[in-house]
Amino acid sequence: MTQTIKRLVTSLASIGFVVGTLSIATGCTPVAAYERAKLAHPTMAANDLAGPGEEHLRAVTEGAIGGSIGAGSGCGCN
Amino acid sequence: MTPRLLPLCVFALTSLMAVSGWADDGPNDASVRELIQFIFKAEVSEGKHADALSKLKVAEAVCEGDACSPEARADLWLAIGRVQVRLDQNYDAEKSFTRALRAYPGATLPADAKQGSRETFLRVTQRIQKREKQGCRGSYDGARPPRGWRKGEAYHCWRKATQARGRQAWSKCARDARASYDIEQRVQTQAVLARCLDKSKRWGEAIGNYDEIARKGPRRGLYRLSRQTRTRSAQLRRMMPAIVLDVPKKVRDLVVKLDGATLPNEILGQEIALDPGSHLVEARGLSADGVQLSFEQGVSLSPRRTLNILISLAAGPPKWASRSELRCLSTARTADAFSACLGRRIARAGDINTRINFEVSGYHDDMNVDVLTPSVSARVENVTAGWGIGAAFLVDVVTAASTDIVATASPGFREVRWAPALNAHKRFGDFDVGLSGSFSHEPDYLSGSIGARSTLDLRQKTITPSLGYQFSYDVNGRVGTNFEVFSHKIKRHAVDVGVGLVLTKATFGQLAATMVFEKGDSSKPYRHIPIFDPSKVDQPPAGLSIADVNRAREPLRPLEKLPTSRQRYALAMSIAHRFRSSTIRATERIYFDSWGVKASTTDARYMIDVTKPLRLWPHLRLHAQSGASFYKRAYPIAQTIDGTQDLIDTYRAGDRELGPLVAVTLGGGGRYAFGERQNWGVFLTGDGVYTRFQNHLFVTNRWGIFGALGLEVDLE
Repeated sequence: MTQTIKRLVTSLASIGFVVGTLSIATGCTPVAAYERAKLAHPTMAANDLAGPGEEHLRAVTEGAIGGSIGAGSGCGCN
Repeated sequence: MTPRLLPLCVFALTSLMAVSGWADDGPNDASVRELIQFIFKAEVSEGKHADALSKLKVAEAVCEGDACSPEARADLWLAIGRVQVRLDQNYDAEKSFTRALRAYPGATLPADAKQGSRETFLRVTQRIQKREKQGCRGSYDGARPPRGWRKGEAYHCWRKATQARGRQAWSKCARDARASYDIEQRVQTQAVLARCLDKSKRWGEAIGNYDEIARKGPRRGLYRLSRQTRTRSAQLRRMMPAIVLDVPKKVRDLVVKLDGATLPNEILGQEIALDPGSHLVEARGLSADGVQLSFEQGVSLSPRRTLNILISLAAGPPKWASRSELRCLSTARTADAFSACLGRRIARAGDINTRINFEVSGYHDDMNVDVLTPSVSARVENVTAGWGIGAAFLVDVVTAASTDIVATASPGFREVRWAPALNAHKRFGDFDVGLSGSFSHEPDYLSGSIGARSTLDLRQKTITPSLGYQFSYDVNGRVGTNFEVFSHKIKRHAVDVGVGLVLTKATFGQLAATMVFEKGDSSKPYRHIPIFDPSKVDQPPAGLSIADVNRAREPLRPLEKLPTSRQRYALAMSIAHRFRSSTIRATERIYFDSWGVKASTTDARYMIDVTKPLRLWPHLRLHAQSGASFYKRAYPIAQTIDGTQDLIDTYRAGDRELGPLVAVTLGGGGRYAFGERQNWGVFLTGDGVYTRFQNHLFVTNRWGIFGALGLEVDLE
């Protein structure tokens, strides 16, 4: 358990550093609220485009997981 | 009251009130005007003025809140005034006409109005115009000025100005102070004028007056006042907001107006200092092929802010505002008045948004695996209060009889899995926190998870970091056996770290990292791994039949045995860019874990708005992975030196998704929006999936198809 926590903390710190550096380095353009019409288009939403069926299919047929917003419960599908 | 007409009027009024509550678009203007015409025809023309007046006053309820534009409200009060004139209620009639003109200064009587109404209306109009024009001068009674003042009228207006200043009625103070200053130029009066202009956010005029006082003050011995006004002028100059109008290049006959005043072309593209508050930018022009283009946008300027406004002209009149809203915006001069103009639209939209989604998806492949997945989800969001809740329910019906399953497990099986899920979130300023929970039930596998997630909006929501944690508890059992008799517990801790980035006005990027720490035995209790004696059978080739494997394998049938801990890491980068009428979205994910699996996944969709309701997209996905370090196509057996014991690998995997493979998905989809507000959508997707297993005993490749049909609706 202690080792798990250590790994977790180290991983979080590393990733947080990388993400933070990238965030600052990108120099995001300030975009006023009334200039965000394109960003507000439904196809630009940050959520995953795959529906629940496709998500489940990927989780079962591919050996990799993660990289998106949270996942539901697992299944003994493999 | 006429009995036969009363039910009709009550019905008409009730219907109008009910309809106005459901009306999504536009005020009740037309309905109110029809009602006025009806009452005049039915009651006024028959001389039943008292009945008509009582019905018109009841009709005021139709215009409650934002249900009517100022013009319609004015028409109603004009109608009330006309009837009051006929009843010789002249004082009340003047009040009604005054209310009409205050609601809409351009209100006029209809052509068929009687002479009495016209005279009363003219009297009211002239009185209002006189008061507005003269302000304090209209109430001057000719009194003599006190010592130090030359003109009594100037002193009277100065007193009115200082009284208004005490009440913080800054606009009235500025008006009366200017009137006093126009009559008698006193520095102290100009100081009051400048102060009231300053407080009513008319900073441009205030700066001019402050500068003039700073110049004149020393000559009159007012050094302290001069110093104070010079300091305040400098402060206002620093705080003065500005806009920069970026004009398009290929537009002919471009005319740009700011608050109704035409701007000279030479100042376009430069900073234009403006008073804080609401302003209206309008533009007209012609495209290269002569199409009329227009642009309108209201902006609200805060102190110290410089806004860049891209004048993106579009063909046709602006769609987003009705005539009454445009007129309202063009006259609004304060943030409250501006918001009130837009508030009509916001109030009509509603605070609660509900989205319901139904989907049925299916999968079939050439290995006799069929999956049917109906699901339903619902989400309720309160946009203004910043909270939302969601629920989902999914059912998987799986029929599997692929070669490897039949060979290593039981004969083909059919299984039903159901999985409910709940989530909720609440926003506190720029910080949002969410909770989620889900459960999955199969005859031989239970899984429950809870999670929390938080996001923070930074730099005007251009940077949105997020952090999420999820704990899962799985119970891996065996069909037909009670979980208490046989089960393996698996605990899983998952952490998601990510950041959303607004890269440009049309580009959004996302970086996400996932770490999963698993502890527990996930080996399948059904998988018996074929074992081969390497002295008898050289490395068996891939893609063997069940009969071939049975001929070559050893009698020993050990179960699958996987490591009981696993650390999994994924790093994903997504980008979405919106073109004129299409969007491209792409994601690249790199994955690796402690079992030695490394993978790269690339997914891309290009969504094209073919027409306003119809959207189509192609879809491409590529996935490649290496196998786990302990994964083998065929596991060998060895004997101890004395021949008493068979040795086999400690870890043995029968799951082909733990081996090296490449998968290509090619497909597409479409969505069609329908309904009065196009808030309904039906979508259909289809994908073909080809998987090449690089090193599996029973199968070398797999062809599969996936399809989903869904219906979704947004309710407000």
